[in-house]
Amino acid sequence: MSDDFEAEAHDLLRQLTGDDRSEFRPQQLEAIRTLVEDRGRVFLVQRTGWGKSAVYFIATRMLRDRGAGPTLLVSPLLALMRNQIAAAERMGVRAVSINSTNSDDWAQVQEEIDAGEVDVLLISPERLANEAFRRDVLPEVGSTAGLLVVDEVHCISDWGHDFRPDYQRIGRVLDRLPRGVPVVGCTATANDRVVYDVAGQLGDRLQVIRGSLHREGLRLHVLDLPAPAERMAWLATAIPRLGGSGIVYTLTVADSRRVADWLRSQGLNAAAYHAQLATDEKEDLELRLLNNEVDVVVATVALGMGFDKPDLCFVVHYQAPASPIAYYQQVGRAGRRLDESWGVLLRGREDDDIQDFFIENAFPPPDLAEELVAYLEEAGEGFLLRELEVEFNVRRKRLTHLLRTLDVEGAVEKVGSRWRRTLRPWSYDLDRAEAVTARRREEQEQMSHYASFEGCRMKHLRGLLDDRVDEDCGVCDRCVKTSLTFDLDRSLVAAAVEALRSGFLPIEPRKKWPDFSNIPLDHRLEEGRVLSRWGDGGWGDDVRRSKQEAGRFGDDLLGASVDLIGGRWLPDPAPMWVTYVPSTSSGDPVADFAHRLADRLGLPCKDVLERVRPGVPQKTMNNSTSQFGNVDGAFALEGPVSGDPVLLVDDVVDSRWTLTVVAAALRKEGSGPVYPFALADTSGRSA
Amino acid sequence: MTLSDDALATALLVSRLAADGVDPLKASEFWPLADSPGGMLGSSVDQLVALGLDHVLAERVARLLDRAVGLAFELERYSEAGIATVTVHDEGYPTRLRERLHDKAPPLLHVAGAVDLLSVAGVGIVGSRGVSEEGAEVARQVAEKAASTDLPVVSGGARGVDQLAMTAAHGVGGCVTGVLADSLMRTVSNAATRKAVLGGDTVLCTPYGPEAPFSVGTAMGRNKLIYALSTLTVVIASDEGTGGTWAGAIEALRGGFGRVAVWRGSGEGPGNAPLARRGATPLERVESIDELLAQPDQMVPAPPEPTQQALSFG
Repeated sequence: MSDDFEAEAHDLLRQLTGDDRSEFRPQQLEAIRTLVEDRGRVFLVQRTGWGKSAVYFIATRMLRDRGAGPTLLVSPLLALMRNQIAAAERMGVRAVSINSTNSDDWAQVQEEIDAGEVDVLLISPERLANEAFRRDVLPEVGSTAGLLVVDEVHCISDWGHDFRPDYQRIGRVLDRLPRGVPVVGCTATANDRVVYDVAGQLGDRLQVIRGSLHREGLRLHVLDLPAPAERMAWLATAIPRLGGSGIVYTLTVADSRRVADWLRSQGLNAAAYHAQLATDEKEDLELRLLNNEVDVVVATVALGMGFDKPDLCFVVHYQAPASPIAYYQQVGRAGRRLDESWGVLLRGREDDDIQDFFIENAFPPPDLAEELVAYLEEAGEGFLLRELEVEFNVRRKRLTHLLRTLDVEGAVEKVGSRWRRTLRPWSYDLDRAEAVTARRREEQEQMSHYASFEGCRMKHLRGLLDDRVDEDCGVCDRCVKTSLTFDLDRSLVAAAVEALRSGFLPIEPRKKWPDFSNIPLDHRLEEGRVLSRWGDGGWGDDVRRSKQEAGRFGDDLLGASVDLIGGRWLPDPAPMWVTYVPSTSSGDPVADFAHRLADRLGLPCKDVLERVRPGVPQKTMNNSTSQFGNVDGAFALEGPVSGDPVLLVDDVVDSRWTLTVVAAALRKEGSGPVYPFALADTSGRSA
Repeated sequence: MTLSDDALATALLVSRLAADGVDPLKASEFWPLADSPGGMLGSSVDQLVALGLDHVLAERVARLLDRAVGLAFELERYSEAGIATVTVHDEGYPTRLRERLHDKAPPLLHVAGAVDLLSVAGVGIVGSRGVSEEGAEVARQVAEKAASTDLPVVSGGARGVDQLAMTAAHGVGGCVTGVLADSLMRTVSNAATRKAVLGGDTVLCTPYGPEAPFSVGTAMGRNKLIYALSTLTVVIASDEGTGGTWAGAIEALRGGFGRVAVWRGSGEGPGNAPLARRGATPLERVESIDELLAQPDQMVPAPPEPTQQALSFG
């Protein structure tokens, strides 16, 4: 009996791989047997390329042949599964996906499922948050499901480094699934804590199959290069020498763009990859990387789970990721089928700041969460996001994050476009938030420890992920006692500094007042420019120093501003005079700067604005409504206003309300078009 | 909260959710299998036949158990909306239902609010929707009386007597058990109802799907739960020989679902006197409820059917 089973499985494996000599890895067959013969549950913790999908596709075929319904496969990576799906078709497993882009086909998919023509139904975890899908589609397709596959199952665990809210639902569904339904959860990386946590949610009587984390031939290196310009120069020097294409990871979208621009300027075929790209742009870029048509992709974490390029030559981190597990998962993409590959961690001075930002903003503040829930509970009814924004002084993005977190926790729900309290008891789980935050801090420590550790990198990294071994890897910088430090060409570093300083950001004109009425066209700002991003390693560092220490914006910043305004921006029609947003502080540094700037541009500077009510910094106001309230009526015009176009100068820009309000006032008094200019953008970072 | 295999198997066998093309078991079909339904999980039709099921039933059971994934997603969806699933194999299931309704007891309830309240025998208050002003006043007084003795008011959540009674109980800080014959999901979307449920002194339940709409069938099925969950049910006003209140009271009297009292006084309906003749205890003053409640909460043996002859002489 079991021999027959093995022969059948074996035969399917060879159909799947298209190779008559294919053999199972130890434990692949064991997993299939548990799923098919025992209808049991399996947790596969195996590296990418081990053959996890072979397990569930073969199990699907065998279960289907034994009369079971189709497999329901939940995966965040549907777009990346094309190859596996094509392979599965070779053994007669037909997979279809239901996602947000093909809702027109749902009815047909439903018919095919009913007709027994579908063997695997793929859905993304995000689909599970869609009410219509859950109400109308899922009960039907789930009513016959034979096998449940949860890909990237570590996302269920809030100890996981990339816990996804939508996965919490899957955890609750598993709670409601009796035995007799085969379930397989897959992940490439998990430490003991995550394994323990996920195993708890997958239930007792679980078979855990966990492999070694060793990566043969991956040369791990660490370099301390605090200054962004040095790292950029290092990348431009090193990448052509690493001998193939690879990935550079950055922590923020802005950095991925900037580094990609820089590498292109140095003659490399480089592209930025981040969450703000459209899906087809991302897919296109992935494809070009797979085909070695680019030298390097500079990516945020958005290029993540499941990206599978066996001959990826290098993974360089421009900044350190937040945890050993995230680091391992990203660096582990290098060279899976190469004898030699590179994993280089560059340590920057801004790493800790950026990580701190993410850690500190991961959980909504308890007071706010409790206030919001109490407010909704007392009211009983639902509210629009906009109404809640007015009630609570919270940035929209932050409020959305809070509501979404509370939604997943079951405290609130969205009905139509209104948010209301659910009927579930809820209290802020401070212990959990504190425990997870403490854990993140610990991981941050571990990353810095990894960098300074004197022994074998691979051994140390595996140990941090609870895969403890004695032998050294023999190829990392510690084992071979060499470093990838180069004597960086000083002119290249200078060029990198220049690149960091040559960028600018646009100031997009606001089009609506906080009450959503339109700002008339002839009262709006024109598009403007910001010289830098606050503390960005380029001019942004100078702006910070000038504002916080020197009390005066120096001639370097002045020169850069003149260069940007007069050399690269060239607004048309050109401004004929300059004014500025005055501050209440004595010896107003903005007034000083505006006068010097006007002088260099050969324009008159007029002190037409007066602050009549002291304001507090806009960055302490958390959303549009309160920011607007902070500046509305804070300024008065004194003296006549010229009808010519004007350059409006401020030191920093955050919400744009100050500039918007001042521009409207100038236009009402008869001025020409108002072009805003600021030295630095202080609005929040995003990844 | 992880549900036990027995609880999940119960839900799979009887729930109408995610039941595409297969009939869930009726209560009377389920109870003979109720001891450890979890034991049937993962069984083939042959194995079920070996357990003693006839072939047709075995096939149905196998198909019902097969829809586990779809049902799990549905139950999770409701749980997220605050609607729990309570089966006979769960802690909060009110044992009175089984004791009093026997094979008519619903093996599964969907519940919003304080589940524990279901197991506290309350004072049932029933009556027609179009109750008179005097009848409304009696309903209010009975509800306040129940609340003052710390007993939940059990009612159907419909307009008229039901809502008067529930509002009155809440008004004096009492608890309320609502047994719904209409979409639980929709009922709890009402702002005032949400506040009450979140306040912790209200439980709403239904033996039907959380989104099942009202029908005469659901209303009749719901009535017996009111009697069974109450130590004493007071009929405020009933028509004679017609309407849900009459039918429910007659069914409760015949089936011995619980003690039945009927209001005899200003505001009563044309059916009240006939109900008293058929075995309901007449209640002439609201204060007398205390005496009735002081009596042991025992199941009432079904009175003999009045014969034609008795009627003609009555």
